[in-house]
Amino acid sequence: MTHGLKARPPRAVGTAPPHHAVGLRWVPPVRARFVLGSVVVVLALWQLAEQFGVVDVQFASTPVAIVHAGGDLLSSGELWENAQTTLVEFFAGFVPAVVVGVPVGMLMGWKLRIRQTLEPALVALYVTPSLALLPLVVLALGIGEASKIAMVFVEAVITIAVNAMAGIRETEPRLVQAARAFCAGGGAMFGKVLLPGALPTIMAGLRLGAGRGVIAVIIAELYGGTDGVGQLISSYGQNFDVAALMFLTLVVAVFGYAVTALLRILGNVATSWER
Amino acid sequence: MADITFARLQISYAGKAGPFVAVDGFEAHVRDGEFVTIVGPSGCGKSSVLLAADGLLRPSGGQIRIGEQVVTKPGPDRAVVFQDASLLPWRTILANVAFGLEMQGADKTTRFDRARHFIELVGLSGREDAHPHQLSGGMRQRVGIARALATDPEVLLMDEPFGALDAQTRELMAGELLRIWDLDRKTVLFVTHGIDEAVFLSDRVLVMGGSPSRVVEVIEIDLPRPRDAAVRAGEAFGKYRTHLADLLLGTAAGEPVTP
Repeated sequence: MTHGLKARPPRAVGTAPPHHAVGLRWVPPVRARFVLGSVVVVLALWQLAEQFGVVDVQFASTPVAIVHAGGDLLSSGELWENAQTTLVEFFAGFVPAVVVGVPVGMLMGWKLRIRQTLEPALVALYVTPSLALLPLVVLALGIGEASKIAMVFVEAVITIAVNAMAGIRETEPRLVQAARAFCAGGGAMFGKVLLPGALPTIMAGLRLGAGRGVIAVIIAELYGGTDGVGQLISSYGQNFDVAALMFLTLVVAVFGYAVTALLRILGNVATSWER
Repeated sequence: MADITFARLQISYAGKAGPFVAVDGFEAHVRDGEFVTIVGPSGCGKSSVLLAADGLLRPSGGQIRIGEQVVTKPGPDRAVVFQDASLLPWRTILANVAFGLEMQGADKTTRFDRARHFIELVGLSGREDAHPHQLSGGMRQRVGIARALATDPEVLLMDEPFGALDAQTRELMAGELLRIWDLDRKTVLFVTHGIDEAVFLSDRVLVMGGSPSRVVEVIEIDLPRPRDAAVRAGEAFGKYRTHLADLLLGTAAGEPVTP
């Protein structure tokens, strides 16, 4: 029996469900049941709205049609092939963005001169929409994987660096002073005071950077290319295949959510002292 | 010899209208193994003098010497206890107390053994694995004291360490501090705005006043040690307290000090 089940009010004996193997009965916690419930209700209303002709199937499709389209995309291997390309492009851009962005941002937060040198360019890039950068990047690197990787890198590294910088700048001066009083040198100050102090903000930066990276890779693929999920979205869109389009959009959303959630868990582990 | 000499110390802060001189002509000498307290009205720069003695703040004039050595930066011969404890929130109590030793390059076994010893000394055994936010203000100060003692400094610099505690805890901590200090009698320079605390703890009290401020009076506290509640309740204690309060109220009101 799970804890969630015990917390429920006792059932009348007459309505007790038939006993299955006890270990297999899993009841999701109350909050998850409400979330799932609301999703199911919305999907059902959507499906019914189609059935009664309230919305136009041509543009809105239906949950059932989307599931079918998804099944086709999966069984033909089309989705997986393209997703692989997108995943490789995303991580090839994101991982270097972390490796470069975190130390550069931390240095910017720590050393005034480095900040003064790099901040204007970084902020300018930060507020420039990736769509505006895309033609430049494609002209420089072609429509292959390189331009997609570059886009993910640029979008993610800026967000990551800006947050790492903020994290360092928000480190409490009294902690830095205390560390100095106990003869902490530059390396120890950086690794044992500034980095742990900035870690929550750095992890938040990784999540935001991952989100912008996902946007960047999809937009770059939409713009031009031969494969990738973004390219699939583009071609199904041009064919008015709304169901497949919606399924693909959902795949991107789920992927973005999963990466963000994973980073959140990592962040919680890294800053477990806070609780 | 770990005596502290302040020679014509001047401390100034950068301001919009040029530098503001907070402390000027500060002269004092703290003998080896002596417990000296600095009191003065708030804003007189007493904490700045203390931070300068650790090398955390660069004086604009004069010098501070520990023994024969002129202070230019923090060193292992000194340790500071801060008003807000300033513990690293992500470190356990054990790792916080071991921090100074870690910075000095002591190996893990040595520093954790020493840290455990000083955690026990300040009465926090069993809380080694807690994090600072799980402790009360008084307990955090105990950790701050343990961290300072763990490096075995010759000079202990204490910047209003009990300033943020309630009156009862404060009195308790003062007693504890004297108990620990009595074990090896390090040179202590202690900054406070508490008159009772200054009289109870010190061998001598330096009273700061004036603008820019300096030492305006040195009071020798001739009370028996070890000091306890009886000493605190005695007549001599009361006299010192009254005298100190008069001095401080006088300096706070900007009147000339006539001892």
